[in-house]
Amino acid sequence: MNTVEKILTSRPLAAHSGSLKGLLCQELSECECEIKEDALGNLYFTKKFTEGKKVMLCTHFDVPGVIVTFVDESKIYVGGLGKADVRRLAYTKVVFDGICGILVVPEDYSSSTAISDCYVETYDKSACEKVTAGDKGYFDMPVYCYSENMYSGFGVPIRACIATLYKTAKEWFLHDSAEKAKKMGIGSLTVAFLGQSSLNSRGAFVASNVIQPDEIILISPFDTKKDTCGITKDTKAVVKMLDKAFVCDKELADSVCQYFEENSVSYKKAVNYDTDPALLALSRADSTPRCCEIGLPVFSSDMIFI
Amino acid sequence: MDFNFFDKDGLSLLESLCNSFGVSGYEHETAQIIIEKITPYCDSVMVDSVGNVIALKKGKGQGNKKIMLCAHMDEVGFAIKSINEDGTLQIDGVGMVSTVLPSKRVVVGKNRIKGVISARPVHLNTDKTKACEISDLVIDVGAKDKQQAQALDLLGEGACFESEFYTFGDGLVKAKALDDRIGCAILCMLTKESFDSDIYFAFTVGEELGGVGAAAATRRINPDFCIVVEGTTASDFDGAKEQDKVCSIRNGAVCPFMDGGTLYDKDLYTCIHEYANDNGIKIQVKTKIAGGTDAAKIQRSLEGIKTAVISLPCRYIHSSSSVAAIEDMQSMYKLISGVCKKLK
Amino acid sequence: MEQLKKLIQSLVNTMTVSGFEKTNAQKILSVCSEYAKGCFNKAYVTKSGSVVLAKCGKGQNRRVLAFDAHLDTVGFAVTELCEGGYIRVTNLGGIDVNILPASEVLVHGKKELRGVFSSIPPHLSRSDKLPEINEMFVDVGFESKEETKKYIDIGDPVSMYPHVTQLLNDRISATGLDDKICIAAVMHAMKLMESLQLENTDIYCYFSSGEERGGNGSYHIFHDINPCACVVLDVNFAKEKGSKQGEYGFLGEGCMISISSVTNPDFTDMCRKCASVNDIPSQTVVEMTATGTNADVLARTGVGIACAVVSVPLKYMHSSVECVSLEDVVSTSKLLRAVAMEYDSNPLGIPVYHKGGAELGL
Repeated sequence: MNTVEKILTSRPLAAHSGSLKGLLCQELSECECEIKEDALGNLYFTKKFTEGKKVMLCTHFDVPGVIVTFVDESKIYVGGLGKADVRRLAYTKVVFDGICGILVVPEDYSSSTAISDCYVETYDKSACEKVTAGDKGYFDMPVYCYSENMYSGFGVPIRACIATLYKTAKEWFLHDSAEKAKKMGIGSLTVAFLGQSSLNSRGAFVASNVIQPDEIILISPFDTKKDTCGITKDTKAVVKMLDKAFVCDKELADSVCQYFEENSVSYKKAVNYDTDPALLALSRADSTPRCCEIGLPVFSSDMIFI
Repeated sequence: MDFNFFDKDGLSLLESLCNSFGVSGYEHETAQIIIEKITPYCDSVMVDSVGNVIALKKGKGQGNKKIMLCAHMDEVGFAIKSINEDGTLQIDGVGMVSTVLPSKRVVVGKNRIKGVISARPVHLNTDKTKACEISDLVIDVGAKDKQQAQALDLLGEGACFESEFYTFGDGLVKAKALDDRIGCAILCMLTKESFDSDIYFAFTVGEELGGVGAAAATRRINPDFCIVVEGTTASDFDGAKEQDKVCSIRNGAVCPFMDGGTLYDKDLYTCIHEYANDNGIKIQVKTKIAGGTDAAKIQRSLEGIKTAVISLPCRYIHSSSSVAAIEDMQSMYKLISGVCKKLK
Repeated sequence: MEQLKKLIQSLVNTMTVSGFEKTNAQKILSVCSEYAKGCFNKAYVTKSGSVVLAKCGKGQNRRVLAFDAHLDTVGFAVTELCEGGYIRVTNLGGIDVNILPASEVLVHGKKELRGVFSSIPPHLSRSDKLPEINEMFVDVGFESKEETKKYIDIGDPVSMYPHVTQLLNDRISATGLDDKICIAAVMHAMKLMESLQLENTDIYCYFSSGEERGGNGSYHIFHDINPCACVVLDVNFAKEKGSKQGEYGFLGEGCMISISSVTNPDFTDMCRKCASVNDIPSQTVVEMTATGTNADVLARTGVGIACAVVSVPLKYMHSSVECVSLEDVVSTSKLLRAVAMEYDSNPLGIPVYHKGGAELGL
């Protein structure tokens, strides 16, 4: 299984990116890039070229999960790490370190039910004794692969974004990209994976302060449910012009569109009605970065084309 | 060296802090008490542009980490929005004031005029089950008409609960603003001790309004670690299920792994729990993820700060009569003091 | 007064929809420089699209006093180009859908095109319920998508059609007075200070971007100019039908000074004293929790900035007929001048060092 497939199908992540972090570090360690991690769990891979602007490409790192708040014999009460629709998660398998159970939801559950109203039933009192408050758990949901490039499942869109950035990092860092960098005026390229992103993008606030980039491009899943711009399954990327709270830097967005045109990537310009709090947070760094977002189109429930 | 809250000094400091007027936006009186208390023991004491009191006590050792201890000076209360025709004062709630407002005594303005929050006479009450909204309530200072009230120059002044500090029951304290005067009291007493690391004491403003001062204080200090000392809600009522209690009084200091959206630093959290267990200090976690603190703003400042919270379990928080156990305050003090000495 | 009206007209005519400030930041800079010619030493546009004009003092060790007004207004952006030649938009900043049907707008694509929001005529409307903004159309006068595509693209800004209407007394109604009327007030204040030579203070007029979307521009004020104190100029509610008690001022009774947890009490007192000492009409408003202006952001930026909030009372906020009294604008300008002079001789002395000093790193 190549690395991209591994990223897409490896065990799901909660707000701790243990296994995936290890995988990325391992794969990119041969790349002569600087690897850094900060207090909020953001992971940075930076390569310096010569003169030019500092560019940061980033994406969210984790997928909604749960955290143990209280153990009552065989029942584990949990709080949510990140927002997820309880209707999708009802009666699914939840895995902690060495023990698993079923997420039991209240009878009248709806889209407004919170994960903290539910509990995990393990039917195993002795195994529960090993679990303490503060342990993280994840939803063990299957990832389906329909054909060579069609995947779906809980958390697949975010992992697809991670896979995209991984490929980008590999391409730029492994091969000799000094020429390419010079042509585009890039002095240093950082690929950042934002931690704690399911908790209102806490990591994002700090990421741009750590790196102080001139330009930031965020890669994020783009929900096509409310699409008004004609996105089809052949559309590889969506250049987001704005959402209700953030207007992407026009020059940067236009240059991204131009790049896509020159390299024959099928893309569409679009507008999102929902707001990604990460963008707002990223743009507030002292270096006043210009920000833009590229979306990977997500169809029906979490289906994505690579 | 071992500080004991049971002796007069600690309790009387807590009493003067709890009784002081320090509604969010009007923290001056509380700040003055704190400045007076800590200046003899600190190397540097300042008040910044937004009103935070920040002090530095340099450590004995060399090249050690910078530790920031943070407590907020403000309490929930009211602001006088406008003056009614009949001389009563229209109020705005400042911070998440509880719904237990009618029929409480208050103190208003810089001249500390006494007033009361109007109560709905039970005789005239049509719907006894509906809670009052703040816009239905007024503060009455006894003014005859609008003119007399205006002459008192109360527009824009703050009002806080009038609540006597006392000990009762079996080692319990009742007071207003235990959230977060307990934090302020503990920090003040800690300035008397000596540490290896540089300790920065940040007494912040506006926490109840979403952390106004916290980020500014953090950026000025730029610490390696931060411990926020707070008061938190204990719902240990009779009949409450264990998982809904959040925490209980007399069960020790509260050190949660998470609060409404902020995951605390795992290493710091583990260090605090380990120290407590190794030294026989009672410690508990929250069984429900609730509430927020300055830590949310501190954690994401600058390049990310390792943050944890140590709280006092308090019943009836944000009201005029919060209740907490002295033994929990004692546990908190020992814990914070010990962890600061351990962190290098 | 005539010149002030002309300044307001030029400002209103320049599109600065929130998020697209960089497009016309330079134009705003030149309009302002033109009005207060010779009153500045420096003028430039920052990286985030904010406009800065500075008047420097004479002495050494000068403190920076900033006047912050936001340069952006509420507006819309194009979200969809429809088959029949219509376009759909979304709002940037809070706009009440009630005002939209039959409103006139200006679409800033490759060309400036006029447009009209759709509305259902009373003969045909079946319910009182209003549609959501993404269910409404803007008619730009074309028949087909191919036509619209030539001039308009997704993400283009759309502003309310600019106008300035003279009402009775000295009241005017215009689009975008939030917050361009305060930019005018600040410029007028600078003009009043033309002959004034300050010793210890640099005055920076910082016209920030992004306020309507959460104050993004003013996050950078600390990094850009590092002010010691800042007067935030914004508009505030004037009494109109439906105002809640205690949350408004009155049109024509002077500038409003806010008392809030994010304002510095000493600085606010200084503003109030300057008003009373100089017989400048002013009103007080209490907004303890949050002011809804850039001050909320400034108190949390950098190491904290001492702020005072001074507002021009305004009726019908965020509509295309915002209404102010020019007398209030002049009061505001006079107050800014008085505050600048007072601050020069009497800086607030914050932060206060009770013991030790900045040498210890605090």
